[in-house]
Amino acid sequence: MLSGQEKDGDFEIEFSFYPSPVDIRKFAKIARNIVELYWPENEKAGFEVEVCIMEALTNVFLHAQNDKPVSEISFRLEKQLNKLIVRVFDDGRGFVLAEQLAKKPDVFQSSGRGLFLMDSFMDSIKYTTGKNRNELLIEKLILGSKSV
Amino acid sequence: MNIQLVGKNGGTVLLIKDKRIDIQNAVELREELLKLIRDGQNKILLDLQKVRFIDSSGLGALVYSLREARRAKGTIRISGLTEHVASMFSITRLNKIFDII
Repeated sequence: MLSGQEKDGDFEIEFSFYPSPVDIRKFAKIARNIVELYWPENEKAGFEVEVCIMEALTNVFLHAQNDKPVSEISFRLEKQLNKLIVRVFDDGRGFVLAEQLAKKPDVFQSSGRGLFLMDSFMDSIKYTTGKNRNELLIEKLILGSKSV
Repeated sequence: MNIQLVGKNGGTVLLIKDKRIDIQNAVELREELLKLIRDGQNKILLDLQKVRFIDSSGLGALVYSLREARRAKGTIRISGLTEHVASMFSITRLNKIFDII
C-alpha cells in the first residue's frame, strides 16, 4: 500500500507492506528511485539511502517483532527542501539506540552492522519507543536537488 | 544466486553474476561458499565486478565464509569491487581483513 502527496517540490509518502526479503529489496529500490528523481545530481545519496532503508526494514523484519507474528511494516519518506526524513515504524519491544550504537561492530562478526551503517550514512538517527509503536527517525541532508 | 565457476588457477575463481548481495540472497551465497570450503576448495577468489549493491546481510555472509575458509587453512580473496560496494567494504573496515585485488 502506498499513499502520499507532493507540494512545492517537497513530498511525503508512506508505504506499508507485509515484510519479506523480496519486498524489503523492492521498497528500498523504490526509495532510491525517489531520491534520484529529486536529487538527480547526487547518485551517491541514492545508494546510501537505499542501504539505510534496507537495513532499517531488515532490522524490523528480523528483530523488532520479537515473538509476535510478523505484522505489517510501514515507513515514511519526507522531503523538506534539501533534507530527506525517513521514519520506520515497528510494534516490537524496542531497543535503546545509544546502547546499540555504542557496540562498535567487530570486524570479524557476521551480523550487527545495520545501525552502524545507518549512523554512518545519515546525518541524524533517533529511536523512540511508544505505547502502540516505535519509531526510527533518520535524516539526511542531500545536496544536488533540482530547482523548483 | 547466480554464480559461475570461471577457473581453478591456484584456487577456485567464482564470478558472482547477481547485481546485488543482500538479505534476499546472502544466505544462499554463504551456503554455496561453505559447501566449497567443506569440499576442500578453500582458496577462493570472488569476482564481484557485476555486483552493484551490498547490504549488511551480504557483508555478513562474506565475513562468515572468510572465517570458515581461514579455519580450514584457506582464504577468500575479492576482486572487481565496484564504487559503492568498495565504499561498503571500507566503511565497515572489511577491506582490512579481505585480500582485495
